Order: sequence, then structure tokens, then C-alpha cells
Amino acid sequence: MEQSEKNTQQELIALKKEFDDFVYIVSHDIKSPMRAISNIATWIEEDLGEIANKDVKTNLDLLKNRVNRLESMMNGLLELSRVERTDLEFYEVNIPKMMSSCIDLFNNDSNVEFSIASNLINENCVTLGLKLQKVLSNLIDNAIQFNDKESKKVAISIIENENDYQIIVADNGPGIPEDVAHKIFTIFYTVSSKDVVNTTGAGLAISCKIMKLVGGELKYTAGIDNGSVFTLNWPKIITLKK
Amino acid sequence: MKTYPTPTNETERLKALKAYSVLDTLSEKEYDAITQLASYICDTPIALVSLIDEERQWFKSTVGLEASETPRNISFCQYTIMGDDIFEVANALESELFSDNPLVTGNPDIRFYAGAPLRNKEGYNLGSLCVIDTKARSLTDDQKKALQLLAAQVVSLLDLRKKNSDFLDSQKELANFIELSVDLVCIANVDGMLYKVNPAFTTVLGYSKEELAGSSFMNLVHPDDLAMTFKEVEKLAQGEMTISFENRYRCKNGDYIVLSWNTSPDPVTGNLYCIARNITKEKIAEQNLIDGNNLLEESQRIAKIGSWKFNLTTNDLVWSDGHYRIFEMDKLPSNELYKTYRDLVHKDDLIKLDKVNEKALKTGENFKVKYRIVLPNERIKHILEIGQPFKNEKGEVIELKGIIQDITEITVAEREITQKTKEIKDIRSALDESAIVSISDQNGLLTFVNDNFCTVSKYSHNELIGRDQRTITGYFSKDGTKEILNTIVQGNVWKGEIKNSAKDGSSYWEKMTIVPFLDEMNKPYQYISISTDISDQKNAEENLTDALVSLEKKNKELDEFAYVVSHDLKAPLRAINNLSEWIVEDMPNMPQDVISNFDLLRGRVLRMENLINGVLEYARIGRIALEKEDIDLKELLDQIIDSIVPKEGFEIKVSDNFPVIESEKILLQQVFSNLISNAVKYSNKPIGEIECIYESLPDYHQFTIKDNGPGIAEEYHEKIFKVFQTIEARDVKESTGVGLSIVKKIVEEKGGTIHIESQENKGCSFIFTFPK
Repeated sequence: MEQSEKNTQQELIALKKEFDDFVYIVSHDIKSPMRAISNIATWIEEDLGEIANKDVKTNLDLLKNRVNRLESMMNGLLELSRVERTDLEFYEVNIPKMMSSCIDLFNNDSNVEFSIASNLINENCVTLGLKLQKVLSNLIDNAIQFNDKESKKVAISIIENENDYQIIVADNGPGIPEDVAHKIFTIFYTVSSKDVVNTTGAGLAISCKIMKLVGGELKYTAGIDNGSVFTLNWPKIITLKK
Repeated sequence: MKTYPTPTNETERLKALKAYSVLDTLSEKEYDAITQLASYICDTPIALVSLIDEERQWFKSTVGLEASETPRNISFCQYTIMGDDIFEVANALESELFSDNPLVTGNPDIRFYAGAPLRNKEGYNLGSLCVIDTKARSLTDDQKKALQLLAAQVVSLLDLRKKNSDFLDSQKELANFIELSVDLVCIANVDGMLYKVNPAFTTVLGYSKEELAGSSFMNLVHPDDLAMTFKEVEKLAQGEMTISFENRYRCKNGDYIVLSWNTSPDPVTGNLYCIARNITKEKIAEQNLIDGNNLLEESQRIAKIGSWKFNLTTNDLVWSDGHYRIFEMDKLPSNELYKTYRDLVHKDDLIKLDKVNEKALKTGENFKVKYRIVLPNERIKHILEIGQPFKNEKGEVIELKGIIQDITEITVAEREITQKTKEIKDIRSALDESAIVSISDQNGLLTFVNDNFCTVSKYSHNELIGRDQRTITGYFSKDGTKEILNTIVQGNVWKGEIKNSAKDGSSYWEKMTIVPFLDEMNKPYQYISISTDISDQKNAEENLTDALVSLEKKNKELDEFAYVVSHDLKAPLRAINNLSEWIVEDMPNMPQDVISNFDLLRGRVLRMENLINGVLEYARIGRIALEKEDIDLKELLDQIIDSIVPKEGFEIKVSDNFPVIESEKILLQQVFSNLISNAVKYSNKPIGEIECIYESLPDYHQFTIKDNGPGIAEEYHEKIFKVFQTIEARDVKESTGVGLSIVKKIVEEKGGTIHIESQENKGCSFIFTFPK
């Protein structure tokens, strides 16, 4: 019994390692050919820049676009693989301020209207600040990026519970079709083709992994008038779950 | 006052007179003849036979006198019986003794008297024969002599009479005796016919006299006794005077009684005089006694009991048969027995025995003692003796009586029981030490719990006893309870694992065995449950299950992840590849360096795709269940060689002994393909030599792929099996480096091993095993 348990544990560890290896291999080992592809594409563009006709130029642009996409996918994968290894510093965070700074990153778009409601007893908390920031910016980015409305609205509420902070990010975007809602946390999954919205589809996968790491939870629910609602429970006490 | 003479032997004389039974009897002519003869001879008018009674003289016969008796004191005869001769009075008037006698002075006016005493053989004078006259006179000598003779004749008559009377009496007595006898008395004639039987025949046998008379006495003999009876009667014919025998006689009511016969024949007539006594009761009593004795003996034998009696004055010891049997001795005279007995008693017990005896003698109390005896063959028997002292009238103990019992078996059994009890106790304490033990009655109420039970359930002893275990710690489902109950109520042992709840609400797992204890009716009267706490094990199991679930989940996750990643990454790669081709096609006049850049680009795209495929393949190994099939390895190798190895520049050798094995073809295919393609890929000789060797090991198949290529330095022997490790830069040989790691992974997942034997520049052997 103990032996088989040990074996299972070992196997599990091995599997986890394999998983990490896999991500690592893909993101690192493939990085050199990726770099080469990227570089060679730049050289070709430089060489052909003046002589190319329109068709070639279009194809060249497309090629560059795919190279970029591939590169960002690789970066997404790399980031995903590093979730458990990087940015693990605890420091004091002022949650409303952090929220504001995240919003500021996207606030240049005048079509977006933010509303923030917060109910905090203690605005400051010591936590993995960079991780929280990452998740929050991901959610806000998504709320804006995939929003197809003229006037985009993002409503954010922050509630302090006994054990965690509950942050809800709701938008008036198109929402996510029910039949694919379960796939959105998978890496590289995008609801629409990557050609429509330029995204790698890594953001939610990374956010989700972060939430798992800190022992919190990230949930999607459909909004009342379409739109998406992401609910984030960020634990006050963080126990890393690798 | 006148005195009257009395013989000195008067009392005896009177007794003798009475014995003749003659007084007051009627006159008899024999006597009368004598008196008449006397009167005639003596020529007297009166003659008398006078018998002198206590107070009178009574006349048996008279001649010439009316009276039958006169008072003794006036009688002449009273003087006659005083002497032995004739008493004569010549003239009464002149006699001092009789001158005033009324018989003289008055009627019958006696003047002369002469009497001869009637003297019997014993010398008693019973009375007199006398003659009387009214004239004074005397008798002649002849007359006197005659009178004496006649007196003797009277005595003879009297004697004769007495004799007759005695005979009749005895005759009567005999008749009475026979009539009244409870014994059967009969006379049978020579033919055995009964012709005289006494009433006892009727009272004892129930037949009437008439029924018996004339029938043979043999008719009533029990058939089984007939032969014996004849044999006995036969003895009489052979001259024996008396025979005694017993036989069974049939009563009228059909019962048989036992008769004891004494039979004598009449030598003259040949008649048989038979006396028989009903000894049925005695027989029964005798039989009962025998039976009783046998029973006693038998019981002593069965109970291994013996009895004894010891006389303290003589030191005589008496034993019953049972006693001898226990001591395994032959009978000894009682005066020798005591010594022999003491010799047999175990030396160590003799003192104890003596003490007990001493005490019994002193106090007179009963005693009970256990001791051992040592038999001649060194065998030891255990004896229990119970004794009782008996006192004489002075209160001294003179005798001891008692019984002994062979308690060897009991003692041995007791000792075994003691030992077993200890053993059980030890086992019990060992059990208590190691297991959780409880006992419940037939209603499931706890009657016993051990410390372990209390510890694990966190209840105290008092909180548990009398409670129903199912409600107090029972956690198991109703169905589970039913199954347990159904099993144990029918008297079967139940084994299983159950979850219980402790007092504090926490739960614990027990691996339990419930054993019902059955009564004589095979109905359980209590249940003992023995269990061990397997909570840790169960938790571990749960952890393991969790771990397995988690493992499975992770596996799937990784699989999906690998697929998604590979698939998604490949899409832009394809696009890049296609676009580059289109661009080259669209620009016929493209400068050479740009064309070579595009080639380079596509080369990298291809590599990247290969890498992604390799990683995907690596990730998928072991996660896809494959079917096993029989693989002809020789055939498999030929196919692989044919498709991988170029026709030119290589020499391939494959051993003939490659077997057919059952395994997953695709896996073996990958292993061999990878190894052979490596050998081909890295070959640096004009003629590449590749050798495939098989060797059968006890539990494994061993395969070797040997080449004459550059070899691998020892420092890389481990490293090359890691993913993406290639020794040369990727640009020299287009290889993903995934191959060997896949090989290793497959081999190890199948339970085999792989290693390299190689030195740089001396070729290389990949040796791997597959379990049989």
C-alpha cells in the first residue's frame, strides 16, 4: 500500500516534471529556431522591401504576422511555464490603487467607460503583487479587447470577504457562447479566429494557472445583458500550490 | 389336730398321676375285672382302685361301694401310698388312726382294710388297689400276694392307657403339623402320582386338593427344570436316602415359583415323602443381593472407586475388588495388605497421609486426602481417599472405613485445564494487547470491551457496556448492517472492513472479524468481535486513490495540453512555410541570397515542426493503450531495414534467432526504427556496418544494435537519452534529438533497460531488454 502510494506520488511528480519539461522544451528549445525564423523573416523583408510587388508585400506582411503570432504564442507558453517560478515576491499592495493603475494602462481608449465599486475594510494587503496585477490586467485587457461595442463598459467591484478579496470584472461585450465557455482557460484557445482579434489566447490560461498557484479561484459567468462576468477570489493567506 | 401323711416326692407324684389322664374318666371293664377279682380273692365285699389326687381319692373302679371319690384326709389309701408294701388295718375300731374315721363310725362301717400301692416304673405311688370289709379280719399271705399282683396289673393297665394316649397325641400333632405347615408336604406313589398333599399346596400353588390328587408332580415342573428334576429323582432309585434340589413350579395363575425340595422314599412302599419350601422370595432376595453386589462392584469399576476398611487394633486392611483394581494388585491376606499398601504410596505423600490419618484418629472427624501411588512399572496414579473413623462404646477409634477414587485422569485433565486456561489467558492478553476486542450478547449489546476498544472509540468502559455497538459506534450503512447480521445470526463468521465513529465524531476504520459463539442448539448466544484499526491504511488508500485520480487527471491534462500546444503552434508554422513558398514562386527574379534565406527559413520551420512533433510523440507514449499482438521480430526488422537503410554504403546483419514475441508492435517498431536510423544517420564510414543481435536471457529478451560509426564518448552515455540532446549541432545532422529519449521511455515503460556500450571512434552498441 505504502509502496504503491509512493510509486503513485513519484509518478505524479514525474508527470508534473514532464509537464514542466514539455512547456519548458517547447518554449526554450523551440525558441532558437523561432528566433532564427523571426530574424530571417526580418532579413527577407529588408531585402525585398523595395523590389516587392503588392502581392508579395501582402504575403510578406502575412508571413511577418504569423511569425509574430508564433512568437507571442511562444512567449505565452513561456510565461505559462514560468508562472510557478517567477514573480514570487510578497509586498504590500493597495488594492484600489493597483486596480486604478491597471485601468490606466487601457484608459487611452476614450470609448471605454470604467466603473469601480469597492467595499474594503482594509485596502492594503501583503500579497504576491505582481501576480495579482497580472491577473487583473488580463481580465481588464480581455474586457476591452474583445468588446465589440461602440461604447465599451467595464464594471469592477471589489469586495473584502473574511478569507479573500472578491473582484468581479463585468463587461458589455459579446460574451462567450455557452458551448465553448469551458474551453476559455485552455491555452491558445480563442473564441474567434486569431485573425479577427489579434491574440494568442494565453492570457486566461496564465491567469487561471496563477489563481491555482495562489489557491484562489477564477470563474466565468455570462453577464445579464450578454457580456462576460469574471469573478476572482484572491485569498488573503496564500499557500503556494504547485 | 390330726396330721396326714404326704410322700416326699408328692409334687412329682401328682405330675406323674396327671400324665396318665385317667382321673374322672369313665369306668372301664379292664379295671372293673381287677376289682371284682380282688374282692373275690380276698373275700371282701368291697374292692377299689383308688387314685390319690391332691385333695381326694378318686376311684377308677369300685366293687361294693357307691361313692366315686372321698376326701383324701379321711382315706385309708393315703397311708398305703406312703409305703411299698401292703398296708393292712385288721380292725379300724381298734386303730388309733381310724377309730373316729367317719368311714368307720358311719357308712360303710369299715373295719378291715388292706391296700397295695400302685407303683409305676418311675417309682411313683399313684394310688392303691384295696379291699375293704365291714368285719374285722386279716388277709392270708396268698391273698396279699394276689392283691399285689393285681395292683401291678392295674399299673400295667394305666401304663398301657398312657401309651395309647401319647400315641394319639403325637399322631394328632403330626397331622396338625402337616396341615398347618407353610411348606408343601406331599406323598407321591412310586409312579410320581400325588396322592396326599397338605393345604400349603393350595395356598402356595393355588390348586385345590382335588385338582392335585392323582396328577403327577412332574406335570407342574418348569419345562427347563424337568431334566434336572428327573435326574435328581433318579438318584433315589440308585439308593440315595434323601435328595435335595430346587426347581421351578407352575402355580395355577401361571406364575412360577422356586421350590426347594427334600424327598425321601419309603423303603417298603416305595412312596416318596416330599417337603418343599417356596424359596422364591429368598431366591429373588439372593438374586437382588448378587445383583446389588455386582452393581456395586460394577459401579466401583466404572467410577474407578474402591472401598476399604482398616482395623486399628489388628492392622488388618480389607479392600474391595475395585480397590485392588485401582492398585493393580492381586488379592492379599488382610494382615499383609497394609504393609504392601504403604510401600506403594509415593514417598513424598506418605507423611501427608499419616498426618491426615493421625488427625482423624485424634478428632474422630472424617477426612479427605489426595495422594499418589507408584506402581511397579513407575507409573503414577492419583488417588483421592475419603475416610471415616468408627469408635467403640468407650469412644476410642478402632476402625477406619472409606473409599478411594482413581483421579489420575481427572488430575491430569485438571492440570491440562489449568494449563489451557493459562494459555487462553495468555492468548487473551496478547489479543487485548494487539487487537480491538468486544463481546456482545445475542441482542448486540456490549458485554465486554477491552482497553483498545475504549482508546480507539474514545468512549469510556462504562459508556460502552450494555449499549448497542451499532448505535454507539456504528457508522455503517443499513445494508451493510443487514449483511453482517444475516451472516452472524446464522452462526457464520463475518469478516470485513467497517467505518465507525468515535465519541468525538471522528471516524475510524476497523478490519473486523465477528465470531458467533454457539450454544448446544447451534444458536449464537454471544458474538466476539476482533478487529484492528486500519484507519491509517484506509487514509493511505484514500490518499492513493486521490493521488491516482490526480495522476490520471494530470495525465489527461498533459496529453490535451501537448496536443493543443502542438496543434496550435503548427498552424502559424504551416502558414509561414506556405507563405514563403508563395513569395518565392511569385518572384522569379528573386536574388540568390534571398532565395537561400527562404530555404533557411523553411529549414527552421521544418525543424520546429519536427521538434513539436517529437515532443508530442514523447508526451503521448504510455498514455495510449495499445493492443498486443504476436510479432515476428525478424520480419519486423527486415521491413524497418528496408525502409530506413539506404541500399548503398551499408552492410546489415540480422541474427537468425529473433523470436516471435507478443507485444505492442508500434512500440517495438519505434524502438528499432530509432536505433537503426541513428546508426544510419551518424555513420561516418564508407561502408556502415549495422548488426542486429538477439539473446534470450532467463526473464528477458535482449537486443543489441551495433554499428561501426563514430561511437559515443562515455560522458554522453547517460545524457543522450535526455530529450533534445544531440551531440553534434543540429545543423550538421537534421535530428530532433527526441528519438533516443522516446526509445528509453518505451523500453523502461515496458519494464526493460537500455544502455550503451561504446568508445569514441570505435562504433557503438545499443543494448536493450524486453521482459518475456
